[in-house]
Amino acid sequence: MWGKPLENLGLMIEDVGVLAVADLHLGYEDVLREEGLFITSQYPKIKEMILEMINTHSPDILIINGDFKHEFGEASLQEWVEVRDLIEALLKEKVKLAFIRGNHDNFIVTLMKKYELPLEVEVKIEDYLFLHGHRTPSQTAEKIVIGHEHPSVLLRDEFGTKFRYKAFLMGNYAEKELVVLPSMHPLATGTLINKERDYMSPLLKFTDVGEFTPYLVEPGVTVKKFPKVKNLRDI
Amino acid sequence: MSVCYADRFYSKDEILSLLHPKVARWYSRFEPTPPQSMAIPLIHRGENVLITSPTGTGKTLAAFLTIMSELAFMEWNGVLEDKVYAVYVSPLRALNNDIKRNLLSPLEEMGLDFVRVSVRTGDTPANERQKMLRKPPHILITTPETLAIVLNATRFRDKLEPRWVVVDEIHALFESKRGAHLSLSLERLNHQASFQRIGLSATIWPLDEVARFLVGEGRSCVVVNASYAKEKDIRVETPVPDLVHIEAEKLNREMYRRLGEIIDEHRTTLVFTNTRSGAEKVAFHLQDSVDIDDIGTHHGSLSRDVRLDVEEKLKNGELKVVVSSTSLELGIDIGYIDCVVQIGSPKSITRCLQRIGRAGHRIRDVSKGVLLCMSHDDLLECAVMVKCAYDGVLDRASHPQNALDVLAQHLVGMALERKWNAEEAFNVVRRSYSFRSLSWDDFESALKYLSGGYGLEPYKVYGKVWYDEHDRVFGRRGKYARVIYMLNLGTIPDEVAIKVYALPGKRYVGNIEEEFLERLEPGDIFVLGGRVYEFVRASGLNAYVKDAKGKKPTIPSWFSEMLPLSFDLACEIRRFIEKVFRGEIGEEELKEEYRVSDWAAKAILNFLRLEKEFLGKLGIEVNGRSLLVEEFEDEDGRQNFLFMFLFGRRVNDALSRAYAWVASREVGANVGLAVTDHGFMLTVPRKRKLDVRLVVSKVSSSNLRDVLSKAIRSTEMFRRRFRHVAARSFMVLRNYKGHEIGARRQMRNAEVLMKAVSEFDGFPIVKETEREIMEDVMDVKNAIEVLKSIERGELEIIHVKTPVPSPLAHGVYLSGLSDVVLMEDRLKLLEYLYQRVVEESSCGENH
Repeated sequence: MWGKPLENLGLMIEDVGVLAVADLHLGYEDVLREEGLFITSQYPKIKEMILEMINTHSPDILIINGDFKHEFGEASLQEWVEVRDLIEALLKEKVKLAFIRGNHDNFIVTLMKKYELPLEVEVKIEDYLFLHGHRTPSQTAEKIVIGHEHPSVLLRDEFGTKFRYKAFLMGNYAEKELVVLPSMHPLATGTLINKERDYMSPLLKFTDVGEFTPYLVEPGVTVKKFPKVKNLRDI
Repeated sequence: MSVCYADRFYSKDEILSLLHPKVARWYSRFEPTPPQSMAIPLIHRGENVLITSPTGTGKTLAAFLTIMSELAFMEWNGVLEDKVYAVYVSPLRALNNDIKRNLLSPLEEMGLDFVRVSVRTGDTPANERQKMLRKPPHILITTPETLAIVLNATRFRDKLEPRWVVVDEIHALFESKRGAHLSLSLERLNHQASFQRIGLSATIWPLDEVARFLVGEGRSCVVVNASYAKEKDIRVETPVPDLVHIEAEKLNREMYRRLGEIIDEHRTTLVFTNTRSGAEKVAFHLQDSVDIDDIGTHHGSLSRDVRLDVEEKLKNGELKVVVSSTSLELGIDIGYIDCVVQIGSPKSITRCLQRIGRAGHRIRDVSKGVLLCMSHDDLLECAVMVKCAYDGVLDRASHPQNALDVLAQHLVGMALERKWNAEEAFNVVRRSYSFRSLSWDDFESALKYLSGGYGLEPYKVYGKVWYDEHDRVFGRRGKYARVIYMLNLGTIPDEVAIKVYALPGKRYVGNIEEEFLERLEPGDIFVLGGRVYEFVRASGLNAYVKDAKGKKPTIPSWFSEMLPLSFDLACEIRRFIEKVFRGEIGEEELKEEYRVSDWAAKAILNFLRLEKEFLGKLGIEVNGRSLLVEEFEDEDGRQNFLFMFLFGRRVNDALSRAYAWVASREVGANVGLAVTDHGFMLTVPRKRKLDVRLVVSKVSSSNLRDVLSKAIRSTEMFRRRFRHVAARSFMVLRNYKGHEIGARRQMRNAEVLMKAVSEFDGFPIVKETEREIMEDVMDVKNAIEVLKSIERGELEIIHVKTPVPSPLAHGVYLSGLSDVVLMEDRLKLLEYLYQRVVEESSCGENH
């Protein structure tokens, strides 16, 4: 495989020096608050994981593969504090930054202009194409990396206890190789790819996800390659 | 501060001389009941009084006669004001209107109709609340939850300076967090103006503790114990002569036949079961097989209208039979009942007496009851229980201490009132019996949590109070604090029962718990009410299944929160078995002292003889010291360890989880757990081997608490309890900004929350969950005592390999899984799940 899934939820592609992460959803805690759930921000963990990956793998480019922050209507105080803090921390690192626009990133444009950071729809580096994944790609490439789906896998032990793991997905889309990145946000749940068949990304909608290979992540601990999705459906 | 016991019965004339003439004239036509003749002069003297006596012995009147008389004197002297003089609190909302009626009609007959009585509960509409503000009732009837709301109802609070507070059904409050909640409300009320406290209770023990709970720290109380004011006649029966060789269906048939006989012999029979679904099933079969039409059912899952209808019919003598789970155990005015039948064991001596006490409502009636036993475990429990009841031995009730979630609620309530000096507030809290040993650190940790400490700080909006650590002052914060308090107060969690319907035809087959539904996937096979079903789908609060007769369950059935056998009774049963083994108890003793029927006596002796023979064949001579651990392999090739520990479920819950946690580390897999009152079973997944002696050696009286606190973190029970504690601490809200938040959403939220806060050491919600599980759900104190006995050699663990479980162990074996202890090591857990996937899906390493 051409990219290395990391236990801190990023994908490292050595031959082009790219570290790709997706779906940080900064400010997601505000949504939960509206549901009456008061919890502490997960942002420090996200920041720590990203900086740890930069230090360990020294990428030339960090690609934020969409949904940098979670937006629902008006942006709140928490989001801006965290968004600024993370951008400023990343600017201090010896790494080029590439932001891809996700479906949640509508209000971030002004802020990015202030930092003179471009916000792209797609980024192509040699054979690799990076996009968020809420729309189909506008160009072709041998290897495609998306986010958006927040793939996770549900497994049960023989007593019926459920375990949910974030996962990288590897498979084929339109005869090209596709990697789906997990969400960086510890609490943002997404599609249970071995249980649900209704995928969010148009790249997965008409694709046989059963033939995809999941890499399950225990964040900060390990990544483990599992049998194909079709084998996990009855567990 | 002291608790003493009343021993003097006052004469009727002495009592009448204390009362206002109008009240005395009315009361003169009655003969004082024992609690009345002891309590009325004490209450008149201004003592705090706890009255305990069976229902129907005139407790309520004993409490109110003095109050009515004093109100009459006040009116006479022209000093009766428009304010609340007496507060009556009952945990049963359904009871409130009865009480009002029972006060209004004597008041009218006495000619005291100027005394206003009102009921205030969560259902009281706004216009009536307004009316109460303009013309406050002299006697306010309410629930613990509404009392806490009233404490923060700014304008009404001014009218609330009671001279008397009557707490009814204390026995139902003492063992729960509702009791702790009420106890703090009373201290908050008392901080403003002190009042006399009168408590009313059915049979309960130890009375000293209950009295201290009623009055709080540093105050005295007189206990009026009239527990034995009513005679009783209790029998233990089985419906068949032999419980060993009988099919379940025949046993059921015979049970209904015998039940039918008892019903025929009496005018009105009240039948108790231990579960709601059991009550439904019994009522259904009675209609079907015995052909009785005038049957009522009464339990907590039924709508209020249905319950009221049944109560009304019962009072009018229109019913032949009523079937109930716990709801009729409490003091609803129940009308004429001449026999109580309990199906299975009521699990505690106290509960047995409370339930049987529902028969013969009037003081001079005999309480007649039959305990109908369906299994050997039931038989042993009931026989010993009845002996204890006649000997006057009761089991010890315990009260939740220092519940931080209850504290958090009241701190928000106090902050809404005014600005507080934290030390002053701490002292108010510590006067409550429920918080008498609270540490300053725990108190402050709750304040810090509420004010947005623990990493919640950057977003002030999370805080419900502000707290200045330096000056030790706190107060309210944020515009939503009041609304959050009013809409989320209380200690009863939203437990949602899922109704299960069989397809096709949508036939109702029973209930499952929401947590159980959470683990089901379409296609899963499980057992419900003795039948096998395949799960099809769920929608809202309904689950749909289809018959799967003959198929093997893929998900173990999940039962929880059943009534636990008390530790004291469990110990009595162990002594009893030992005596039977030694031949000290024979058929005659059983029939006379244990009040068991002919068949029941034979069944007990026969069964214990079988057990003795079975163990004899394995070369084991049992004595009172031995604790058997039976090891055997089940048909799936899994290793099972049956611990024959007869200590009651609360102690077994603690011991089993500690052992399971050690076992899960030894074998590197999750370990399944079945726990009953009579023992527990550990199940190790296939292809893993466990040395049980090693496991046992690693748990001791000195490390049990530590092991347990790690073990419970990775259980289903922790997840469930955490959700309830978080809701009570206002962290997962049931209602926010006027939106109801469903139980399923709350559950998902709690899961997210647990992930987010579990790294904070000493976080009060985590700490309280741990305390609640160890102290209230489990009985860690007695579990430590058991381990100490093992360490001193008074008890000895004997490990045997058996081809099948022994007769005494069958109940445990058949009980079904009750929890899973998960591996702590996240790396190993993922590895284990990988192995499982590879085995189950039979795909190779390279797929």
